[in-house]
Amino acid sequence: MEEALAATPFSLESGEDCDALLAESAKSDAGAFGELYERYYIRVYRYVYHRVGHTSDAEDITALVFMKALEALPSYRTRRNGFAPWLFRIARNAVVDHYRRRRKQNPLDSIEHHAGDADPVGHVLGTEQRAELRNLMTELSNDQRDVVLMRYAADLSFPEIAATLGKKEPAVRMLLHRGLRKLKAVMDDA
Amino acid sequence: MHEMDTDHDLNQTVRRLVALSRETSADPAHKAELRRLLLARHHELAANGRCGRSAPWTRLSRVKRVGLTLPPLCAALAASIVLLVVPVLSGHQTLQAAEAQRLSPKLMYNVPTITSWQWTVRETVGQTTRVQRWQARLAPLRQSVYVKYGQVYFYNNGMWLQPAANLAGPVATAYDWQWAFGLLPATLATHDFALLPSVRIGGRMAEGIRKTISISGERAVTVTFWVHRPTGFVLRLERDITAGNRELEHDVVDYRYQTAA
Repeated sequence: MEEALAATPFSLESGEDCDALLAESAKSDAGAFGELYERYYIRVYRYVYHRVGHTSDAEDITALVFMKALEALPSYRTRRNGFAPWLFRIARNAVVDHYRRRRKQNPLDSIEHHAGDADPVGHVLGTEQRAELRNLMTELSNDQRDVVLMRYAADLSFPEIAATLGKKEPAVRMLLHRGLRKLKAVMDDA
Repeated sequence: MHEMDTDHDLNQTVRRLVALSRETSADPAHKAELRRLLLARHHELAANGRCGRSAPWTRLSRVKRVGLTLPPLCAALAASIVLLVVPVLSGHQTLQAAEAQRLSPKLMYNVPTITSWQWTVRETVGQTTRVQRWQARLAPLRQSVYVKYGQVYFYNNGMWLQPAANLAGPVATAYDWQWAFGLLPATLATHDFALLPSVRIGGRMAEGIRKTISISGERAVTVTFWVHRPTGFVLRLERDITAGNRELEHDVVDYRYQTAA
C-alpha cells in the first residue's frame, strides 16, 4: 500500500505530466519557460526542418512556433492535453502556413527574403543523410510524413501524436505502419 | 524503444529513419538568440500583466538600438513639445488630437505583431481600372515593423530602415502601396487631418482619416485612411488625384494583415 502511494508522485513526474506542470509554471515564470524551450527546441526544429527541408526556413518557423507558444501560453490548459501535442499543433500549423504562403505569388521576395539563404549546416556533416531522408519523405502522404517525423525526429509518443493530429491512436499506428512499409520498399530498391 | 513500434521486419527501416532524422543539428547561435528573445518577451508580458502585446521598444537589442537612439529621441522631444504645448495654447483638445491619442498607442502595440500583409490595389485612371495583388512576408526575428513617435521603422536583418511611401507622385509603385499604411502614424502626429464618418469594410467598422498630402497648382493629392478602430490597422487606403474639380486618378488599396498574436 505504501509503495502504491509512493508511486503516485513518481507517475506525476513522467515526461508528459512534468512538461504540463512546467507549462503551467511557465505562464508566470520565465525560468520554467526556458526549461521547456530547452526540452523542445531541437525536437521542434528537427520536425520542422524535415518538413520544409531548408535551414533558414526551419529556423524562422521554429522561432515563430515558440513565439506563438509564448503568446498563447495563458490559454494553455494542462488537463485538456499534454504540452507536446499543444506545441506540435502550433508547429504543424506553422508548416502548413509556410507551404500555403509559398504557393501564392510573392512579388516582393527580393525585399523580404533572406540575406542568408545559404545552408550553413548543409555544408558540414550529414548533407547526404538529410538529402536521403528528404527523398524518402517525398514517398509519403502528408499524414504519414507527419507521423513518421513526429515519431522519429521529434520523439513524440503515440498518444501525443494522436492528440497533435486529432486522430485515434490506432489510426496513427496504422499510418506509421503503412509509411514504414513504403519506406522499406524504397530502401530495399535502392 | 522505437523498434517496438511495428512489425519485426521493419526494425531496420526504423533504425535508419531514427539515425537520419537525428543527424540534423540546429545552429547553437540561433537557439541562443531565440532563447534570449523569448525570455525578454516573457518579461515584457509579465511586466505588462497581460498575455497580449506589449510595447516593442524593449525587443530591440542594444546593438540595433544604437542606430535608432538619436532620431527617435529627437522625435520624442518634438512630439512631447507638441503634446505639451499645443493643448496649453489652444486650451482644449481638438477632435483630431483625441483621435491621434486614441489610435497611436494601438498602432504602437499592434503593428509589431504583423507577420505578413497583403494588399489589393485598384488604380482607376479615366475609364481604365488596373487591379494588382501583392503580399509581403516578414522573416521572424530578422524582420519587424515598429511604430514609434509617429514614424514607422522597418527592422531588416540588423539594419533599421524608414520606409517612405511616395503617394504624392502620379505613379505609386508596389513598394509605395506596400508601406502606404505606414503614413498613418505620421498623419496622426500632425493632427492635420479631417475625420470622416465610419463605414463598414469587410464586415468591420472603419473610421476615415483624410489628409491632403500634396498641392501643386491645381493638382491635389488626397489620401483617406479607413482605420479599424480596435486595432488601428488601415483596412483601406484611398488616394484621389484631382485637378480643380476633375478627378485624374482614384486608387483604392485594401489591406489584410496576419499577426503573430
